[in-house]
Amino acid sequence: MWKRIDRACGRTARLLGEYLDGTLRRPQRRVIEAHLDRCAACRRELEAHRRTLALLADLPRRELSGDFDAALSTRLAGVQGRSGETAGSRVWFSTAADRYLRAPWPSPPRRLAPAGALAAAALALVAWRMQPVPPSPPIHPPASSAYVATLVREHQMLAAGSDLNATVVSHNVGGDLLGDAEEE
Amino acid sequence: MIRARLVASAALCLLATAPLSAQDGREALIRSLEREPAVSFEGIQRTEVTSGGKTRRAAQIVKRRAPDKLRIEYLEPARLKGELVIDDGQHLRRSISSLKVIEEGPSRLQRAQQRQSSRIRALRAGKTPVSFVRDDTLLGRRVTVVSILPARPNRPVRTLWLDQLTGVALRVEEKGPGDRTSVTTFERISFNPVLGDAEFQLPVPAGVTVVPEQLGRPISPQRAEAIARRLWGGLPTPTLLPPGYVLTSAHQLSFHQRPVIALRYTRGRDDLSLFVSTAAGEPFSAPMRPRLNVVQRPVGGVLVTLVGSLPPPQLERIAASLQHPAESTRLQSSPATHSHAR
Repeated sequence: MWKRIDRACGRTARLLGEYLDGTLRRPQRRVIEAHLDRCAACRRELEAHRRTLALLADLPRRELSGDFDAALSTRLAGVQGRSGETAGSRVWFSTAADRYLRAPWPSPPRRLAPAGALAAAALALVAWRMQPVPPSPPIHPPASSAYVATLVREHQMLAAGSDLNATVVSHNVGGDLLGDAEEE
Repeated sequence: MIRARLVASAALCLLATAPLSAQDGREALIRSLEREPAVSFEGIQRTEVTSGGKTRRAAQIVKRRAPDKLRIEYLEPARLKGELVIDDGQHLRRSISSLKVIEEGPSRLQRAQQRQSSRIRALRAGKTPVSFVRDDTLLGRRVTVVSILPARPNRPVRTLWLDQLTGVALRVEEKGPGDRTSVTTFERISFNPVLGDAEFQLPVPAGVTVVPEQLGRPISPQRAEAIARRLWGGLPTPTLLPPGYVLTSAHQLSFHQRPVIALRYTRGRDDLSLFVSTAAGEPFSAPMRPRLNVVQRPVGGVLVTLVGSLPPPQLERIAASLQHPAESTRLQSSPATHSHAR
């Protein structure tokens, strides 16, 4: 009886990440939930995973600043102003595009308008990217947070001397000295 | 008639308590396996594990109560001092006070008992090559030294100093694969001590979490490289590491049923883990908690995650030095270091 329970614990431990990600198929999910209902150790492990995920979720995300749009518009307008066209960023884009689309046979300057707009946008982006970038705040990928949480735990276990401990334990279990345990 | 029975019984008793036979390593090992589970003892052990030119040492008090109780209490090193490992015949538990967790897994002693007969059968069938080395004396006791050759490549060769009266291994040496060696030896041992039940119980203090035992298992760096070559065409290894970091162990684990290889680099008390997998993930860098940072990035067709106490910029530099698996043909136990990485 004990062995079946332990195997179930091992399976549950392996699938906890997927369980929390919600990517398990329904039958597997039911098996895990049934096991969690009756196994306090696995429930505690689930809570530990949840806490680590919450820790990851609390990390600051990299987001665009509130004035990003306005700053980009200003830069575009500046570049546009230097090229002698109308200032006004997005308005300018739409106006130029409208003019181009409305004219069946655009005059040479009008024909160059979209290309000018694209060049202006590229210049603006290059100018923006060449500015000194402040240290980027940490970001984290939501899709792999369970994976990272698992690796962090593994790292901590190893840091706590798990490999040295594994050697000591195996040297004290007579049967394991035959080496067949590691063949599994 | 009665006298004949008495003589036969005495002969049987003598046979049962006869010392382990010299000159036949296999029989000595079989008798050790048969006797050892019935022996209680306590003693002080020292363990040394050497890999990549680095040696880690531990000292521990070991108590064994027949047939299925084991207690290990660490005295050294400092990071393990006071930690307990207890096998109560149903579970193997290890208290890790620094993490406030108790790691729990199935009993290793019970598993060993369940496999005892099949192991003995395999030994008798010659499936496990065992050779007699010599008779010797250790801690004032007669021992038989036997050597067990691995059945498969990339496994260690073990040499055991088996106490001839009790079958207990007083010294264990493992060599290989690669340059890894480990030695555990008793400095002191006494047999048949009085050991109470409390010695083999591990209460869970408030605030301590019980977690299933570590998901990964140690493998040799050579095996890690072989697995990675089969799965991904190679194992990304850093060409740039801060001075002093050496590869000390490799582990195999799984996440979402996909294999993950972990390489462990250490420098004193600093640790760096490099995880390689095909798990989905995006590049990112983040401090997790004080002295624990994570950097993750795809390298070729695999995802590499670095976890360690180094600051994120240094982890980034190490990550940037990782070679594409196809380019990495050999795992170096001591990758090239670069002074400006620190």
